[in-house]
Amino acid sequence: MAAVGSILFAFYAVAAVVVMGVFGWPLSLVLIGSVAFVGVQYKVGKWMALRSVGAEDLPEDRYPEIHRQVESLSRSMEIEKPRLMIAKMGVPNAFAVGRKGAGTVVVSEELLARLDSREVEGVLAHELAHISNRDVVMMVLGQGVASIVAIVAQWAVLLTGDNDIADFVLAFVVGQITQLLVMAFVFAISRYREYVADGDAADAIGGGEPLARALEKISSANERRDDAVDQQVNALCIFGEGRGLAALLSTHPPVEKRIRKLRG
Amino acid sequence: MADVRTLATAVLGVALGIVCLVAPGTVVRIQTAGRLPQDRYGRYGEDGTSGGDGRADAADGGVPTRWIRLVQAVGIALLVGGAYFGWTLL
Repeated sequence: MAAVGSILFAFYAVAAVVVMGVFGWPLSLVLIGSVAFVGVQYKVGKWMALRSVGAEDLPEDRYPEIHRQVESLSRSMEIEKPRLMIAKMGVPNAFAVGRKGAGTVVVSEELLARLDSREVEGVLAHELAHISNRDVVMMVLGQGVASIVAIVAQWAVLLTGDNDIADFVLAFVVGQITQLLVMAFVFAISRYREYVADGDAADAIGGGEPLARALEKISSANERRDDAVDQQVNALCIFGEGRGLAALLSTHPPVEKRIRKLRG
Repeated sequence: MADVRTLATAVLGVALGIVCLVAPGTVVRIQTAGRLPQDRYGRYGEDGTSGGDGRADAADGGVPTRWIRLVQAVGIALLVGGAYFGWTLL
């Protein structure tokens, strides 16, 4: 993972050098601009995520056990208790946003309805591990680097061309492809961080079985998929689920592998 | 030199267009990761896949259908554009 992180930094360094060379910006301005860009993404992303699911505070009087579990887990992970929220997402789901000290964990009503108390604890421990390990911030940082590199690549195309219509299309395409390439490295880190969060969650609750059971229950209870799209996609192989490009551009490792590791 | 850039526009445009048409969910994921939680759409523990019985539509891995359609429309535009620039080289 250190190698992948170094490659990401190298992408950013090249983009920064190009900006300094082409626009004559001093290093300090490039760094301040980058931090501001990522900071805005972080703030807007957190707000949008909570707003898009219609998350509401998880009332302590209705869910005392969940609050107690999170308090206990937060203590053992040595982090501040995050804000707990609930949302109706249509599917069993949970996610964490924010950073250590200002985190928020959102769980769906469907998740709470489907899992037993120990399994919910496993899921909560996994989300708290993401906050504790600063994985949310890492993802924002990765997307920030990818966006900055893509913008610089677009400008490089525009500034070296005749600014005809083909140049504008080429700049857009190069920007998108550059972002895709950089995000492949970000996603590799993300998949690794999922395993780390699983391990930390298992340590915090004294074993991986509850989280493994939760993952198993959720994935097996929802096997039905949109067959038309899936068959079309799988027929092309390189995009098929869990294979080729799709596997390379996944934020999560396959559930089966996670369950095996949790039980191993 | 202009021909090389036009050729690159044609080839890369068609390639990106195919990706947008075939894997629109992946394109959405690339754009939203780090901006929205990757778990936002779909079931817990998976990459934007879902049973599609809720707000997250099932058109492509639980990503809302309108986003999928938008990416596919961009894909068609890129295919047409790429084909046009390829045609100008003939």
